[in-house]
Amino acid sequence: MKNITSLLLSPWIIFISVIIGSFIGIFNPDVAYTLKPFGSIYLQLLQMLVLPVLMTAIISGLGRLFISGSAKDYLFKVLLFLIMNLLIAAAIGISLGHLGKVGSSLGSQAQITLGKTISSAESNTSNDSQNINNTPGIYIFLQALVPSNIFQALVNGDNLAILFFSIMLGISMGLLGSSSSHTALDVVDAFYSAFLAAINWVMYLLPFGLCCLFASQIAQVGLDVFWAMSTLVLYIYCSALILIFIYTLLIYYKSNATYLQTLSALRQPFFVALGTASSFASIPAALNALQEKLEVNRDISDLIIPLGMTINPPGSVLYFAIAGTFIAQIYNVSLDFSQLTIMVIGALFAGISSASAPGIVGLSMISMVLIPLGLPVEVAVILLIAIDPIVDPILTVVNVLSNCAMTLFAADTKTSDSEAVLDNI
Amino acid sequence: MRLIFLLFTFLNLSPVFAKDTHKFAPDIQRIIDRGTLVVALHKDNVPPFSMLKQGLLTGIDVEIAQDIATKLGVSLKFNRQPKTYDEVVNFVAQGKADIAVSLISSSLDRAKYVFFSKPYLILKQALLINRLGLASLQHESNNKDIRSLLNNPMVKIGTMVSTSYIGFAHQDYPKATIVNYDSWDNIITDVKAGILLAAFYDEIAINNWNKQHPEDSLYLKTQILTHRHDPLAIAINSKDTFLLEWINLYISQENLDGNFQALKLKYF
Repeated sequence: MKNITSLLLSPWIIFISVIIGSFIGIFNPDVAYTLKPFGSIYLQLLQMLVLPVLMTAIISGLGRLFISGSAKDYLFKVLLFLIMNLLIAAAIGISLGHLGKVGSSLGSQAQITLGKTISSAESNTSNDSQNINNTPGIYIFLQALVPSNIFQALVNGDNLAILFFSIMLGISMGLLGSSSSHTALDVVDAFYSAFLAAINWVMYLLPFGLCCLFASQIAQVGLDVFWAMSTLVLYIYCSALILIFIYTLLIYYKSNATYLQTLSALRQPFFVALGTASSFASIPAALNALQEKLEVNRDISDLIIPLGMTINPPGSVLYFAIAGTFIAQIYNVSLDFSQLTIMVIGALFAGISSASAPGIVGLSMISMVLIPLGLPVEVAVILLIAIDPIVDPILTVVNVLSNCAMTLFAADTKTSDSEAVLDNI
Repeated sequence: MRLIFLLFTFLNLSPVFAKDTHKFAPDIQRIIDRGTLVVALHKDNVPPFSMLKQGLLTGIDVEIAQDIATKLGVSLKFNRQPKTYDEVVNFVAQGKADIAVSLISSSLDRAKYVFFSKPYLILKQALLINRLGLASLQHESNNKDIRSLLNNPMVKIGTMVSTSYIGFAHQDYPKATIVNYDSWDNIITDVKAGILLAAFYDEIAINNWNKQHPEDSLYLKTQILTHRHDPLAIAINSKDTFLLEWINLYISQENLDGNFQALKLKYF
């Protein structure tokens, strides 16, 4: 039994299942569509556990940090990492976009395919007034942040609102400092451990779940559009891999493990992110990897991982930066330094805002990059929707690993004294 | 009513008998005496209204003209000399053709010198807009509505010379500069180059362009204007009052039978 369970968690089995899933997706889409419900059920299972883990992790993590009084030390480090990280992601996106001439090298066949994609998308929504993207922006982000009713937010699965509520609750519990709030924190803690244990069981099904998810995800990719934008997709993958490499180096540098051990420890969050293309669904796997394999301080990882999935999305920032470059090149608009700065800042805000908005609404945040530069938004949104299934998985990996790196950067692996403090009370 | 019409058609089919016993209205008699209905049709084919299919001229306008000739009991002859749509209408006014079935919009200006039948099809007006130009205009003016965006002194809109679209353009975008072109290709070239912001024409011309140049959708946005209609009608000489009534009756009956709708479905 022990052998079987360790076999199911082995990186090779996970890798092989991904390969099998991809092959089914490419060569036998029918089977892939049959497998799709199983993949969705697996994803639902993960998501069922994500919300409770997210809430309990933040409440207990933040509460303990405030009790120990060390919260502000981490806050500064997190902010520093966050800003640097997102700026670097935007810079890499724009540089590689320019280097690869992602938009100016479109062949005539590619232009025809893209033109057809756009006109069929537009004829489906055509009417007199513009309907895509009304007023996306920082306002939508703020509106999604504050729930008017926390139970409604829970029912709707509004991650951002739940996050905000959990942070408030965690801070207030930490600041109260009464013995009853310690008891409450212990209860939250117990639930948290229970949810994590449940997630560990779910992880045994990971190879099967990934196989189904990969098959259906790859099968739904429109191949002609993919070829038309292959240069862009290629450079998105290159930039993503550069960032992933930087994060693994950073994690390796900050942890006590060897580089290979680091990679092996990160395999679960890596593959869950790749298979589910959902950073929130990857939270448990990331927490597990950091706490069990890399021995990162629990309180800090409990707080930073869920928080980071919303406020630290370098994958999305990178995506908006390179896509903005792509659109500018398609329309032959050369950007001077101040316009590039606008693009970097726009990509940064668009990336953060898109974390709060699912799917197409999230992609329409690219208007924050394009509108100030006077570039057409509808075309960008249609094209981004077309390649989203191909690039979303790798960008999710970037987001998840970046948050692992941010956690290690803030935590420095040294055991904080918060637990000791709590034990003394 | 239908019986009378059938009788009428039957009589037409036997001209000898008809000539002896029945004197038609002079305008119809003229056509029957000649034995051919002369229909003015623009020299260029515009699918799906006129086009060549395996060497044969066909299309919505061609089928309607043929049907009218058959129902009048005469053969059909197209006069394809007109180079512009205004010229098509002029041919009817000058008596060089009996009628025009040629994607003709029944505009108030033209109705000053020819009769127009009831519309047999109603098209929508449409725009092809330079996406980049539109985006920067939207950014500058913070306005999302395309119609009010285009009604702006900075905007240049291209449309075809000698078509009713010049009038439509001045009516809808009085503040914009309307530029007249004699070649649709040149309009699109200038829109793509950013010299014009938009090309203004009927949905047929714009859909045809999109079909032939799918890559242009990347740079040009198609906007079908649902608020503006372009009724297509048959032009008839102002002296031919009976013919006008006859054609209106024909159009009403065909509409009742759903034949125009069927034609539209067949070709669109």
